[in-house]
Amino acid sequence: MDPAEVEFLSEKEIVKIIPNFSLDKIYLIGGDLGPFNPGLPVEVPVWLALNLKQRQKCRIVPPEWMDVEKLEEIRELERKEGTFAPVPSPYYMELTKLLLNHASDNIPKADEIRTLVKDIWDTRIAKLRLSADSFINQQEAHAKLDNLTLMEINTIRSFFLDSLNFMYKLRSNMQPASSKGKAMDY
Amino acid sequence: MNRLLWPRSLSGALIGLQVLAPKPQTGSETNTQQRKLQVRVRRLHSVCLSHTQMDAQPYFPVQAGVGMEENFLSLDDILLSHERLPVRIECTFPRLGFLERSSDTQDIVEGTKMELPLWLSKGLYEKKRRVLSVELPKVYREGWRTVFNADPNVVDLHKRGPYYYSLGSQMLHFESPENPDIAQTLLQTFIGRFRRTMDSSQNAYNEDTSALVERLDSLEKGLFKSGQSGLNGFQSWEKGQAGQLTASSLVLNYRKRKMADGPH
Repeated sequence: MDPAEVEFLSEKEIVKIIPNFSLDKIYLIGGDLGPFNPGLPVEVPVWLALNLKQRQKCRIVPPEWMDVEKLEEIRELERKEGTFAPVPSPYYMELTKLLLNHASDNIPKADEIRTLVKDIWDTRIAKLRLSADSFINQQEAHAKLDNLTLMEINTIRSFFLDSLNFMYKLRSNMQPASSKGKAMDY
Repeated sequence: MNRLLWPRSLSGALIGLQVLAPKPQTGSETNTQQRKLQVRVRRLHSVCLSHTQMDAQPYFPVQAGVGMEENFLSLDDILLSHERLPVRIECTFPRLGFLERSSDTQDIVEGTKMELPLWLSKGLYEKKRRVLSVELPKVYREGWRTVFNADPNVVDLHKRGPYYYSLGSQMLHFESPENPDIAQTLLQTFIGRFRRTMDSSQNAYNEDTSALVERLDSLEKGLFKSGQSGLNGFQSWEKGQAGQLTASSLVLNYRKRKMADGPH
């Protein structure tokens, strides 16, 4: 999977915007949006919010968790816990990047938020690598990883799957009798 | 020996080229032969090149089989089958003495020690009729196994291999009391080296990785590459380059090849 595809999926998340134009309710396959009235907050998907923002038709209200104090709390929790702490949004990384790149004037303390999210990301990736290593080391067959986001899984996916495949084959070497009957995929 | 190691793949074609090369002006026949071989080498070369590219590929490269079974279409496994193994001949090979340069006898006599490529040893080896017995290469013997069990990270697997894991798995085809230990050591070595491969592939961004990969087994190099593609993908997304459209590497390479072929 491409990171761009993950980003595409994240654009279906809902944000609140304050439009400065008026429009009737619009009917789309994915659901009805609107009606839009100047000054009245309305919920729309991110892709629409960004589009309107680029045409300067609205102001984006940042999601609740995109706030310095809350993110600091999450960061501390993440550093303290050995396991993955719950994240504010399954697409926290993508949303931060999208919103901060296109609508940084609507988000207070944009730079601090950027650093905080990056810190959280780094901590989680380090944890992910640590747990992958212990997973391999103890030759486990399955593991439960809660609270991982798609983007995080995506960075390590191909490497990890390949390693597990190789390890499986090296392991099946140890029981030559049972590996005889297995045909290759190719 | 020369003939036993003859073609089947890239290294075979290269050897053929070397043999023909010293006498280029003897006649048109040699020249056409040489030309054919050159074409073959170049074709294999382009296959190899596209094998090493990270992004778009003209076909899906087949990974090495690693286990007891080889993957027929894997380039790594083809090259692996040319690894030489020390063998001991257990019955006389009549009138094949010319293959063994070190002795002048007509036959290869029983008890001769020589080196044969893996594909040939596998073909000749039989459990019931003892045609030849295969000795373990040094890296898989007791002494080296102790080293691998102590600290797999210090070993230069590229120098010792470069098909350490694959060849080790292939050695299990030949009966030996040490087989379970070999399988165990292979697995432990992989596990022991995993962390370093992972960390280096996930952290080396936009830098020269040759120092990092030079000590890796060919299999670990493949892992390193997939780790790098994950990292590079994420980084280019973060920098906002993922949204830009770029020309496919296939198109670029096609243009290059056209230019290179132009003058002929």
